[in-house]
Amino acid sequence: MNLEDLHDALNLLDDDMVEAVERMRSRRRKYSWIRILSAAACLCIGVMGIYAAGRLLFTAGSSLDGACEYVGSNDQELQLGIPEDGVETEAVNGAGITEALATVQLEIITLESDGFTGKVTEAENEAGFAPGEILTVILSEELDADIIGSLQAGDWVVVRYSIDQEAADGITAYEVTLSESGK
Amino acid sequence: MQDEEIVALYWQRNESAIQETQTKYNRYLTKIAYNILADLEDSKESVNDTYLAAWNSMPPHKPDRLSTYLGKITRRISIDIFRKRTCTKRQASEYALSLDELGECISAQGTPEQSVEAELLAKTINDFLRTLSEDARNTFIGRYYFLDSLREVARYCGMSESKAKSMLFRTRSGLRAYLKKEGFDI
Repeated sequence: MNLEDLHDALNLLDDDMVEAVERMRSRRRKYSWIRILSAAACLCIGVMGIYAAGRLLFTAGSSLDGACEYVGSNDQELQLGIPEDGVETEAVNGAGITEALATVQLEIITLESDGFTGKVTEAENEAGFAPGEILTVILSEELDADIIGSLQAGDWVVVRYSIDQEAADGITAYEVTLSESGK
Repeated sequence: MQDEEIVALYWQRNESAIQETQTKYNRYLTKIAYNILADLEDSKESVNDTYLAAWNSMPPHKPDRLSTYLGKITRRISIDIFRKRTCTKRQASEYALSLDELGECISAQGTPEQSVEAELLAKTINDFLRTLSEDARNTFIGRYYFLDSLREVARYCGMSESKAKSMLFRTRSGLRAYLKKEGFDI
């Protein structure tokens, strides 16, 4: 017997056991969505601002067409660029265009237990965010609590983000990864 | 659309079955493929092959739970792609990591002559998993079937990473002993 035999055999696990884990995996996402909805008021303001900024840039005929589509898209393919460890740097949209995941630098204004509000100080990768915009970030559950706990108002953070949940009732959420922070 | 309706479309040879499958399960399947391949393009190829395999297998198959059925196809296809890769490209996926971990269950690389019948081995593993606590079983399946990272498994199983890690270690040791007891040459 070798390792490949073992992995091949795992493909024949009983369905009921696989389904039990499958339900646990999907429940996590629903829970996350409920949490996001509960913070909808803050998120809605931030995201609609972002969307409006993206639209404005789009109609101005700038080179940010992709970024506008990026912000407003429900395309599932965009979500694929976000492995849980957050190391992937590219996503592919429905039209087959490869785009870098956008990053923004924020100055933290207020901290919450599950995220923070921050002011955009720099935006890279044609993010569609304008410096000075106020964004509310709900951190994904993958982030360590100790990382969140280490942040303070006034700190800066670089956030890499993409769409995690589709727009619904005018609310769009992003799955984010903190890539750097500082005082 | 409900699974039964999608399966019915396959049985009617209606090509919208694939579109409906893609709408409902694309992300789920790509996650499985990505955990094995750690490459977005290869993962997409694997998932597309899954749709083709689903089209070719329904009928005669009529799965009760479509997600599990498709997930197993994606897992198998992705592992096949992984095995065809060069050693360099094999690195860094959760599947590659899981191979190292599961190596603890087997003392040495077997020869083709020692290859065992997958169904028999699968039945033994199934029997073993049913002897475990629910937590231990779920962490094992999360880590070695879905190939989720330890962190992800710990999170959706509601435990710390260190607890999940030690639980997996005990489960692997238990599996090794169980396989040996059942007469497998490990």
